[in-house]
Amino acid sequence: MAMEFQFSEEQKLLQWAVNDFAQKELTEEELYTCDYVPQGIIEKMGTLGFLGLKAPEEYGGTAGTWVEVGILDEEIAKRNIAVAHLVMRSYEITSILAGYGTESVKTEWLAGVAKGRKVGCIAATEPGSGSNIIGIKASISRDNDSYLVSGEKVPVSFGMQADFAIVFAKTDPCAGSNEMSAFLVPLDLPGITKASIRNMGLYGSGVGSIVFDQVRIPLEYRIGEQGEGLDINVRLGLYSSSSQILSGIISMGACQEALNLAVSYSKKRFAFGRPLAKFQAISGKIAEDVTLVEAGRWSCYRALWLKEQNLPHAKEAAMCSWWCPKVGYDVIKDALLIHGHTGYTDDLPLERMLRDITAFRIIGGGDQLMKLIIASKAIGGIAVPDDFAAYIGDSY
Amino acid sequence: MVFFTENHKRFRSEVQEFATKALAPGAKERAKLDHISGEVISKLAEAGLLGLTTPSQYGGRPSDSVTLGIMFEEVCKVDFSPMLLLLSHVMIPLMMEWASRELREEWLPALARGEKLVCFGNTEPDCGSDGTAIKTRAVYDQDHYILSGEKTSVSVGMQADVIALTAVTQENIGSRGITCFLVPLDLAGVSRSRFVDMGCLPAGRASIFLSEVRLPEKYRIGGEGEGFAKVMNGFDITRALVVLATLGLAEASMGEALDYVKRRTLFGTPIGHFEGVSFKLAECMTLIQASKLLSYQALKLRDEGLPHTKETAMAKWFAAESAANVMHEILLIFGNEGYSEKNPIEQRLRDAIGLLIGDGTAEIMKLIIAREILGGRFMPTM
Repeated sequence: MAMEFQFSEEQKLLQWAVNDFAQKELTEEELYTCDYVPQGIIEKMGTLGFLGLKAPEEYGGTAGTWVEVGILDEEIAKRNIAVAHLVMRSYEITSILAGYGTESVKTEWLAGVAKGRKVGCIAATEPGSGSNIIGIKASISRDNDSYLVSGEKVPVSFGMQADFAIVFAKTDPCAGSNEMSAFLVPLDLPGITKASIRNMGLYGSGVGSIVFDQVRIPLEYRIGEQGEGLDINVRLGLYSSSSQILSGIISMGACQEALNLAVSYSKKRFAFGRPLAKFQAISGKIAEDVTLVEAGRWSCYRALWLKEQNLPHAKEAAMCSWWCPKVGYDVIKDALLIHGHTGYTDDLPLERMLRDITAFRIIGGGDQLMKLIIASKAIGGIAVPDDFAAYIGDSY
Repeated sequence: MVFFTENHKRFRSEVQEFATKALAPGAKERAKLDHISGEVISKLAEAGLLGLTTPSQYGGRPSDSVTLGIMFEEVCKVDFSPMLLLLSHVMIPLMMEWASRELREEWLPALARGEKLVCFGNTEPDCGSDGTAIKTRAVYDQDHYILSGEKTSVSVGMQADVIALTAVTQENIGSRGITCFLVPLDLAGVSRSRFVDMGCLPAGRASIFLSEVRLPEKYRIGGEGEGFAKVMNGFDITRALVVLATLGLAEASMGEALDYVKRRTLFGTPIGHFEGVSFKLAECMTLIQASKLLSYQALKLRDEGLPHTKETAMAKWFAAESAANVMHEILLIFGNEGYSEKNPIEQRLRDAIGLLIGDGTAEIMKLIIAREILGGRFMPTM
């Protein structure tokens, strides 16, 4: 098949429709200050099918490709990074539930997310574990015909808002074993305490810490087989390639918005009697940034395409995940600085975008971890710590 | 650093001790306030740190420029919130050397005691980096000047009692038509509004509007047309001080990061064992050190009475950029914790980004350096 670097007519139509939605709906002031994504917006996105491209049709999905998921998240990120983050997480969650959920989980929760009626979150990271997912201490025990979940998860994106969490926990955390399983835990059950975490930015992601104290859930809320949790977490959770690539896509969407602002400002703002655009120090910087975004954006779409074809893409996804948010930070910072004092205020979206995008330099493990993944593919197991090689190896 | 005298070293330990004792408690919370705490101002005044460029007969303790740099570095390492106030209380007393005795007696002692706060206004809405393009007008009228215009991006503008500003007294002769004035902010015709900024929040950056403000002649600083040169001379010192303040922030973050990477483990080992982390810290340390050398060099040259415009410009862009990059890298090393408001680093990064713009962007600094090394005819022309 010939190489093609363009979207199909249908994809362009999707791009237009999402852009139109974002221009009209993602405008409320509330979006920039509140620590949640307003339910009305999520429901509208669900109704329009934005959240269900990867959910089976019988559970409220509409068949779509990963490239299309990228197109829609890119358009949303141009208007609001936190909403784009919610979309990214929704795809992480629908992938896990569609792949591993029991019938009752799919009917209620997968369909709920795909239609924008339920919000889920991933509760994997713990205070002491960070990027090392096998270090978790949350525990699960069987009690007749239910499970009891205990442990502390932090930070959890959308933890404050979510209706349910996918929790990773070990059967026997003290034994030092890597054996873990995944569970769906509705967050209105007794034994759950949440606390909000105030961050530098990305307020809409409502990050929280969630403490589970002997929370009782039915057996059919186990996701996947007993002991399958590590595999699910590595492939679809913490190191989900969709989230890695979408982190890149979101960064590139935000960059384009920032560059648009910088370009139009450079034409109307004068210094020393001429527009800023006439100064090579400004035009050259914009030229560099446009180059970086072009490279980053197509890296993301290629990785999404590989993913859609079920071709190996762990390395490519990790590249998107570290490089694009870095470009995102640099490009948005340049755009802010081109605006001078005005860029530093909340009269323009740039300072908020810079604070928001900084989160994506951390989400999913950050540069160092992504480089370990790339190194493990480019060099081999010799280049990474043993613990990391142990679980990143074949399942990835 | 090699060129500090015994006096400098003694002063540094004094300020360190003062800052640790008087300023450390609550410093992280004060970084989020929209004003400089009155208590901090009194403590700084009591320690004599608001009068380091004020002549002793007006209650000051005149110091050399290197000493000022030490003060900025050490105070801001602990508490960044009063930084922009410290800056105007260095710059304005220096400018007031050209003011009338009456004006000096009226204001200098009060400024040194922190009873009155001063701010500085040069930037206007349509002229950021290009200081000769200002539109504020001062028209002479029977022992008075009538001032009209808008000064924007005025640090401490919301809190100050008085502003030193530039205005055009003679049209069409560029920088030679600019004059400095001291304008009490309680005069009729003055109003202000606040910016909501990403950082440097306690500075309470403001726009100050002057509508036919009637100012007695004695409030002119220096002669008519001497304003631009005086302001530019002032920038040669404030730019080096601003970046030393930011480097103080970077050094504080560096110290915290060094502790953290020894404590935090990943894959069974402290993260300081990973070169992805340790080399980043090594780079950060190098940038901080190089920036400090550039900044103190500029101040030392000033103290020796040698040219230092180019050196100050080099220090400003390089150190500001280094500090912002260091803060960003350190935030990433702290990971999720660094991104949360529990850790002071996120606010410090936001503050440092402001200093990439404040007191002159990197582009302006590079124009200055280029002018110095290529010659004036390579400057942008109108």
